[in-house]
Amino acid sequence: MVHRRELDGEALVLGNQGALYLNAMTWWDHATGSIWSQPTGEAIAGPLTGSRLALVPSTLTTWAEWTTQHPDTVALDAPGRRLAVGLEMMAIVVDLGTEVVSYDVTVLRDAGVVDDVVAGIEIAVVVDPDDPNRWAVYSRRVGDAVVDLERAADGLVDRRTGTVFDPLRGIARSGLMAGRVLDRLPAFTMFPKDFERLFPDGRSWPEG
Amino acid sequence: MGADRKITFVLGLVAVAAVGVAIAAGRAGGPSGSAPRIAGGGVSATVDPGAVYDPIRAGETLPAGYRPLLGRDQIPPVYDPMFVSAADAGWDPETLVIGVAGEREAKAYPVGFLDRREMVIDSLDGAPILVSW
Repeated sequence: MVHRRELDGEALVLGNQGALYLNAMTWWDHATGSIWSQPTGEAIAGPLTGSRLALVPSTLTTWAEWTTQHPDTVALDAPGRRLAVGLEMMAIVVDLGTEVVSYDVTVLRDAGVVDDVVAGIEIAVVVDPDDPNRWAVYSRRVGDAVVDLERAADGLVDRRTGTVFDPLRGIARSGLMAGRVLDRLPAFTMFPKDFERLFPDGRSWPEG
Repeated sequence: MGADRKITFVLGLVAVAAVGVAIAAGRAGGPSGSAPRIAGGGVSATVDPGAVYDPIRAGETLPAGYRPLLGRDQIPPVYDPMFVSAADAGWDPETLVIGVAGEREAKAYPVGFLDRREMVIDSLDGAPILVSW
Protein backbone atom coordinates (compact mmCIF):
# COMPACT_ATOMS: atom_id res chain seq x y z
CA MET A 1 0.00 0.00 0.00
CA VAL A 2 1.08 3.57 -0.52
CA HIS A 3 0.04 6.43 1.76
CA ARG A 4 0.61 10.16 1.69
CA ARG A 5 2.70 10.65 4.86
CA GLU A 6 1.48 14.16 5.47
CA LEU A 7 -0.90 15.74 7.98
CA ASP A 8 -2.08 19.37 7.63
CA GLY A 9 0.82 20.08 5.27
CA GLU A 10 3.46 18.65 7.64
CA ALA A 11 5.45 15.62 6.46
CA LEU A 12 5.55 12.68 8.87
CA VAL A 13 8.41 10.23 9.14
CA LEU A 14 7.10 6.80 10.08
CA GLY A 15 8.89 3.76 11.46
CA ASN A 16 7.95 0.14 12.06
CA GLN A 17 6.09 -0.28 15.37
CA GLY A 18 6.73 -4.05 15.33
CA ALA A 19 3.16 -4.89 16.37
CA LEU A 20 0.11 -6.23 14.60
CA TYR A 21 -3.32 -4.63 14.60
CA LEU A 22 -6.18 -5.95 12.41
CA ASN A 23 -3.62 -8.66 11.62
CA ALA A 24 -1.53 -6.12 9.74
CA MET A 25 1.49 -3.97 10.45
CA THR A 26 1.56 -0.82 12.56
CA TRP A 27 3.80 2.23 12.37
CA TRP A 28 5.07 4.87 14.81
CA ASP A 29 5.71 8.45 13.81
CA HIS A 30 8.95 10.11 14.77
CA ALA A 31 7.39 13.42 15.81
CA THR A 32 4.71 12.31 18.28
CA GLY A 33 5.23 8.56 18.78
CA SER A 34 1.60 7.89 17.85
CA ILE A 35 0.82 4.37 16.64
CA TRP A 36 -0.74 3.95 13.17
CA SER A 37 -2.62 1.09 11.53
CA GLN A 38 -1.57 0.19 7.98
CA PRO A 39 -4.88 -0.98 6.46
CA THR A 40 -6.90 1.96 7.79
CA GLY A 41 -4.10 4.54 7.68
CA GLU A 42 -5.40 5.79 11.02
CA ALA A 43 -3.57 6.60 14.28
CA ILE A 44 -4.89 4.27 17.02
CA ALA A 45 -2.88 5.58 20.00
CA GLY A 46 -0.89 8.65 20.97
CA PRO A 47 -1.44 12.37 20.38
CA LEU A 48 -2.55 11.93 16.76
CA THR A 49 -5.24 9.29 17.52
CA GLY A 50 -8.03 9.51 14.96
CA SER A 51 -5.90 11.23 12.30
CA ARG A 52 -5.81 9.44 8.97
CA LEU A 53 -3.26 9.31 6.16
CA ALA A 54 -4.62 9.43 2.61
CA LEU A 55 -4.17 6.43 0.36
CA VAL A 56 -2.20 7.02 -2.86
CA PRO A 57 -3.28 5.02 -5.94
CA SER A 58 -0.74 2.27 -6.54
CA THR A 59 -0.49 -0.80 -8.71
CA LEU A 60 0.68 -4.29 -7.91
CA THR A 61 1.94 -5.73 -11.16
CA THR A 62 4.94 -7.28 -12.88
CA TRP A 63 8.07 -5.33 -13.68
CA ALA A 64 7.53 -6.03 -17.40
CA GLU A 65 4.02 -4.58 -17.31
CA TRP A 66 5.00 -1.57 -15.18
CA THR A 67 7.85 -0.58 -17.51
CA THR A 68 5.53 -0.92 -20.53
CA GLN A 69 3.06 1.51 -18.99
CA HIS A 70 5.74 3.76 -17.46
CA PRO A 71 8.93 3.59 -19.60
CA ASP A 72 10.53 6.44 -17.59
CA THR A 73 10.06 4.70 -14.24
CA VAL A 74 12.89 4.48 -11.76
CA ALA A 75 13.50 1.33 -9.75
CA LEU A 76 14.33 1.07 -6.06
CA ASP A 77 18.01 0.13 -5.84
CA ALA A 78 17.33 -3.36 -4.51
CA PRO A 79 17.29 -6.89 -5.88
CA GLY A 80 14.21 -7.85 -7.90
CA ARG A 81 13.31 -11.46 -8.49
CA ARG A 82 10.39 -13.59 -9.52
CA LEU A 83 7.86 -14.33 -6.77
CA ALA A 84 5.62 -17.35 -6.61
CA VAL A 85 2.55 -15.26 -5.76
CA GLY A 86 0.38 -14.45 -8.75
CA LEU A 87 -2.20 -11.71 -8.76
CA GLU A 88 -4.94 -14.13 -9.72
CA MET A 89 -4.80 -15.41 -6.14
CA MET A 90 -5.55 -11.96 -4.77
CA ALA A 91 -8.45 -9.55 -4.52
CA ILE A 92 -8.58 -5.93 -5.65
CA VAL A 93 -9.73 -3.77 -2.75
CA VAL A 94 -11.41 -0.39 -3.15
CA ASP A 95 -11.60 1.64 0.08
CA LEU A 96 -13.52 4.88 -0.29
CA GLY A 97 -13.79 5.76 3.37
CA THR A 98 -17.34 4.81 4.34
CA GLU A 99 -17.39 1.61 2.28
CA VAL A 100 -14.75 -0.93 1.37
CA VAL A 101 -15.27 -3.60 -1.30
CA SER A 102 -13.13 -6.54 -2.40
CA TYR A 103 -13.28 -7.82 -6.00
CA ASP A 104 -12.35 -11.40 -6.88
CA VAL A 105 -9.67 -11.17 -9.57
CA THR A 106 -10.44 -14.59 -11.07
CA VAL A 107 -14.13 -13.76 -11.60
CA LEU A 108 -13.28 -10.26 -12.80
CA ARG A 109 -10.83 -11.67 -15.29
CA ASP A 110 -13.69 -13.49 -17.03
CA ALA A 111 -15.99 -10.46 -16.89
CA GLY A 112 -13.29 -7.94 -17.89
CA VAL A 113 -15.09 -5.13 -16.08
CA VAL A 114 -17.57 -4.68 -13.24
CA ASP A 115 -19.64 -1.51 -12.76
CA ASP A 116 -20.36 -0.83 -9.11
CA VAL A 117 -21.24 1.93 -6.65
CA VAL A 118 -18.96 2.24 -3.61
CA ALA A 119 -19.64 4.83 -0.90
CA GLY A 120 -22.06 6.50 -3.31
CA ILE A 121 -19.46 6.82 -6.07
CA GLU A 122 -19.98 5.07 -9.40
CA ILE A 123 -16.85 3.04 -10.12
CA ALA A 124 -15.56 0.46 -12.59
CA VAL A 125 -12.99 -2.23 -11.80
CA VAL A 126 -11.13 -3.49 -14.86
CA VAL A 127 -8.92 -6.55 -15.27
CA ASP A 128 -7.22 -7.59 -18.51
CA PRO A 129 -8.54 -11.08 -19.41
CA ASP A 130 -5.15 -11.92 -20.95
CA ASP A 131 -3.08 -10.87 -17.94
CA PRO A 132 -4.59 -10.36 -14.46
CA ASN A 133 -1.51 -8.32 -13.50
CA ARG A 134 -3.01 -5.55 -15.61
CA TRP A 135 -5.89 -3.87 -13.79
CA ALA A 136 -7.32 -0.47 -12.93
CA VAL A 137 -10.11 1.13 -10.89
CA TYR A 138 -11.91 4.19 -12.31
CA SER A 139 -14.60 6.64 -11.34
CA ARG A 140 -17.40 6.32 -13.91
CA ARG A 141 -18.22 10.02 -13.61
CA VAL A 142 -17.20 11.95 -16.70
CA GLY A 143 -18.18 15.58 -16.22
CA ASP A 144 -21.92 15.52 -15.42
CA ALA A 145 -22.42 12.09 -17.03
CA VAL A 146 -22.00 8.61 -15.60
CA VAL A 147 -20.79 5.89 -17.98
CA ASP A 148 -21.90 2.25 -17.89
CA LEU A 149 -18.99 0.21 -19.16
CA GLU A 150 -19.02 -3.21 -20.73
CA ARG A 151 -16.29 -5.24 -22.32
CA ALA A 152 -16.07 -5.21 -26.12
CA ALA A 153 -13.44 -6.43 -28.57
CA ASP A 154 -11.87 -2.98 -28.96
CA GLY A 155 -12.01 -1.85 -25.33
CA LEU A 156 -14.60 -0.73 -22.78
CA VAL A 157 -17.80 0.62 -24.31
CA ASP A 158 -20.21 3.02 -22.63
CA ARG A 159 -23.67 1.52 -23.17
CA ARG A 160 -25.36 4.94 -23.55
CA THR A 161 -23.01 6.89 -25.82
CA GLY A 162 -21.01 4.12 -27.49
CA THR A 163 -17.78 5.82 -26.41
CA VAL A 164 -14.87 3.34 -26.45
CA PHE A 165 -12.34 3.66 -23.61
CA ASP A 166 -8.85 2.14 -23.40
CA PRO A 167 -9.26 -0.38 -20.53
CA LEU A 168 -5.94 0.28 -18.79
CA ARG A 169 -5.33 3.95 -19.54
CA GLY A 170 -8.92 5.12 -19.21
CA ILE A 171 -8.71 7.36 -22.29
CA ALA A 172 -11.74 7.57 -24.60
CA ARG A 173 -10.44 6.56 -28.02
CA SER A 174 -13.59 7.14 -30.05
CA GLY A 175 -17.23 8.11 -29.71
CA LEU A 176 -19.03 11.04 -28.13
CA MET A 177 -16.54 11.42 -25.29
CA ALA A 178 -13.34 10.89 -27.34
CA GLY A 179 -10.33 12.41 -25.58
CA ARG A 180 -11.94 12.39 -22.13
CA VAL A 181 -10.12 10.42 -19.42
CA LEU A 182 -11.61 8.36 -16.59
CA ASP A 183 -10.22 9.34 -13.17
CA ARG A 184 -8.29 6.57 -11.43
CA LEU A 185 -9.30 5.73 -7.86
CA PRO A 186 -7.05 4.45 -5.07
CA ALA A 187 -7.05 0.67 -4.80
CA PHE A 188 -4.75 -2.08 -3.63
CA THR A 189 -4.53 -5.85 -3.62
CA MET A 190 -4.57 -8.36 -0.78
CA PHE A 191 -5.34 -12.00 -0.19
CA PRO A 192 -9.11 -12.64 0.12
CA LYS A 193 -8.59 -14.21 3.56
CA ASP A 194 -6.77 -11.12 4.80
CA PHE A 195 -9.60 -8.95 3.53
CA GLU A 196 -12.17 -10.90 5.56
CA ARG A 197 -10.05 -10.47 8.68
CA LEU A 198 -9.10 -6.84 8.16
CA PHE A 199 -12.46 -5.59 6.94
CA PRO A 200 -15.13 -7.70 8.67
CA ASP A 201 -17.76 -5.11 7.63
CA GLY A 202 -16.46 -4.98 4.05
CA ARG A 203 -18.43 -6.17 1.04
CA SER A 204 -17.13 -8.83 -1.35
CA TRP A 205 -17.87 -9.05 -5.08
CA PRO A 206 -19.33 -11.31 -6.32
CA GLU A 207 -21.67 -11.76 -3.36
CA GLY A 208 -21.88 -15.11 -1.59
CA MET B 1 34.46 -0.37 33.31
CA GLY B 2 36.82 2.67 33.58
CA ALA B 3 36.18 5.79 31.55
CA ASP B 4 39.14 5.07 29.19
CA ARG B 5 38.11 1.51 28.59
CA LYS B 6 34.54 2.64 28.06
CA ILE B 7 35.67 5.08 25.37
CA THR B 8 37.82 2.40 23.71
CA PHE B 9 34.85 0.05 23.83
CA VAL B 10 32.55 2.67 22.28
CA LEU B 11 35.15 3.50 19.58
CA GLY B 12 35.42 -0.20 18.86
CA LEU B 13 31.67 -0.41 18.44
CA VAL B 14 31.71 2.61 16.13
CA ALA B 15 34.48 1.00 14.04
CA VAL B 16 32.52 -2.26 13.77
CA ALA B 17 29.40 -0.30 12.85
CA ALA B 18 31.33 1.68 10.21
CA VAL B 19 32.66 -1.51 8.61
CA GLY B 20 29.12 -2.91 8.67
CA VAL B 21 27.75 0.20 7.00
CA ALA B 22 30.51 0.08 4.36
CA ILE B 23 29.72 -3.57 3.59
CA ALA B 24 26.00 -2.83 3.49
CA ALA B 25 26.62 0.15 1.19
CA GLY B 26 28.65 -2.05 -1.15
CA ARG B 27 25.90 -4.65 -1.19
CA ALA B 28 23.18 -2.05 -1.67
CA GLY B 29 24.51 -1.58 -5.19
CA GLY B 30 22.90 -4.98 -5.78
CA PRO B 31 22.27 -5.89 -9.39
CA SER B 32 22.97 -2.35 -10.52
CA GLY B 33 26.65 -2.47 -9.54
CA SER B 34 28.16 0.88 -10.49
CA ALA B 35 25.03 2.19 -12.19
CA PRO B 36 24.25 5.84 -11.44
CA ARG B 37 22.05 6.07 -8.36
CA ILE B 38 19.27 8.60 -7.98
CA ALA B 39 18.34 9.88 -4.52
CA GLY B 40 14.74 9.25 -3.47
CA GLY B 41 12.66 11.45 -1.21
CA GLY B 42 13.42 9.93 2.16
CA VAL B 43 15.17 11.36 5.20
CA SER B 44 18.87 11.04 6.03
CA ALA B 45 18.58 11.66 9.78
CA THR B 46 16.34 9.48 11.92
CA VAL B 47 15.52 9.57 15.61
CA ASP B 48 16.18 7.12 18.43
CA PRO B 49 12.90 5.25 18.99
CA GLY B 50 13.60 5.19 22.73
CA ALA B 51 13.67 9.00 22.84
CA VAL B 52 10.17 9.37 21.39
CA TYR B 53 6.84 9.19 23.23
CA ASP B 54 5.54 5.65 23.54
CA PRO B 55 1.77 5.33 24.11
CA ILE B 56 2.21 1.87 25.66
CA ARG B 57 4.89 2.97 28.12
CA ALA B 58 2.67 5.95 28.95
CA GLY B 59 -0.12 3.56 29.92
CA GLU B 60 -2.52 4.36 27.06
CA THR B 61 -5.14 1.71 26.35
CA LEU B 62 -4.64 0.20 22.92
CA PRO B 63 -7.66 -1.06 20.93
CA ALA B 64 -8.53 -4.76 21.22
CA GLY B 65 -6.59 -6.91 18.80
CA TYR B 66 -3.34 -4.94 19.14
CA ARG B 67 -0.51 -7.49 19.38
CA PRO B 68 3.04 -6.33 20.14
CA LEU B 69 5.70 -8.63 18.62
CA LEU B 70 8.94 -6.70 18.10
CA GLY B 71 10.46 -3.40 19.17
CA ARG B 72 10.25 -0.22 17.14
CA ASP B 73 12.33 -0.43 13.94
CA GLN B 74 13.60 -3.91 14.76
CA ILE B 75 12.63 -4.49 11.14
CA PRO B 76 14.35 -1.34 9.85
CA PRO B 77 12.44 0.74 7.31
CA VAL B 78 14.29 2.13 4.31
CA TYR B 79 14.47 5.76 5.42
CA ASP B 80 16.72 7.02 2.63
CA PRO B 81 15.93 5.06 -0.56
CA MET B 82 18.11 5.23 -3.67
CA PHE B 83 16.90 4.48 -7.20
CA VAL B 84 18.34 3.41 -10.53
CA SER B 85 16.97 3.69 -14.06
CA ALA B 86 14.71 0.91 -15.33
CA ALA B 87 17.49 -0.25 -17.66
CA ASP B 88 19.99 -0.45 -14.81
CA ALA B 89 17.69 -2.36 -12.43
CA GLY B 90 18.28 -5.69 -14.18
CA TRP B 91 15.17 -7.23 -12.64
CA ASP B 92 13.46 -10.39 -13.84
CA PRO B 93 10.49 -9.22 -15.98
CA GLU B 94 8.16 -11.34 -13.82
CA THR B 95 9.25 -9.56 -10.61
CA LEU B 96 6.18 -8.41 -8.74
CA VAL B 97 6.39 -4.69 -8.00
CA ILE B 98 4.36 -1.97 -6.30
CA GLY B 99 4.28 0.91 -8.74
CA VAL B 100 3.27 4.51 -8.12
CA ALA B 101 3.00 7.17 -10.80
CA GLY B 102 2.56 10.92 -10.40
CA GLU B 103 2.52 13.74 -12.92
CA ARG B 104 6.30 13.91 -13.21
CA GLU B 105 7.70 10.61 -12.00
CA ALA B 106 7.00 6.89 -11.69
CA LYS B 107 8.63 4.56 -9.15
CA ALA B 108 8.71 0.80 -8.65
CA TYR B 109 9.46 -1.17 -5.47
CA PRO B 110 10.02 -4.95 -5.68
CA VAL B 111 7.67 -6.90 -3.42
CA GLY B 112 10.33 -9.51 -2.57
CA PHE B 113 12.50 -6.77 -1.07
CA LEU B 114 9.52 -5.16 0.70
CA ASP B 115 8.80 -8.56 2.27
CA ARG B 116 12.00 -8.12 4.26
CA ARG B 117 12.08 -4.36 4.93
CA GLU B 118 8.32 -3.67 4.94
CA MET B 119 8.52 0.15 4.70
CA VAL B 120 10.09 2.76 2.40
CA ILE B 121 10.02 6.47 3.29
CA ASP B 122 9.95 8.31 -0.03
CA SER B 123 8.30 11.05 -2.06
CA LEU B 124 6.41 11.26 -5.34
CA ASP B 125 6.39 14.51 -7.33
CA GLY B 126 7.82 16.12 -4.20
CA ALA B 127 4.95 14.93 -1.96
CA PRO B 128 5.96 12.69 0.96
CA ILE B 129 4.76 9.08 0.64
CA LEU B 130 5.12 5.86 2.60
CA VAL B 131 5.30 2.55 0.72
CA SER B 132 4.47 -0.42 2.98
CA TRP B 133 3.96 -4.13 2.51
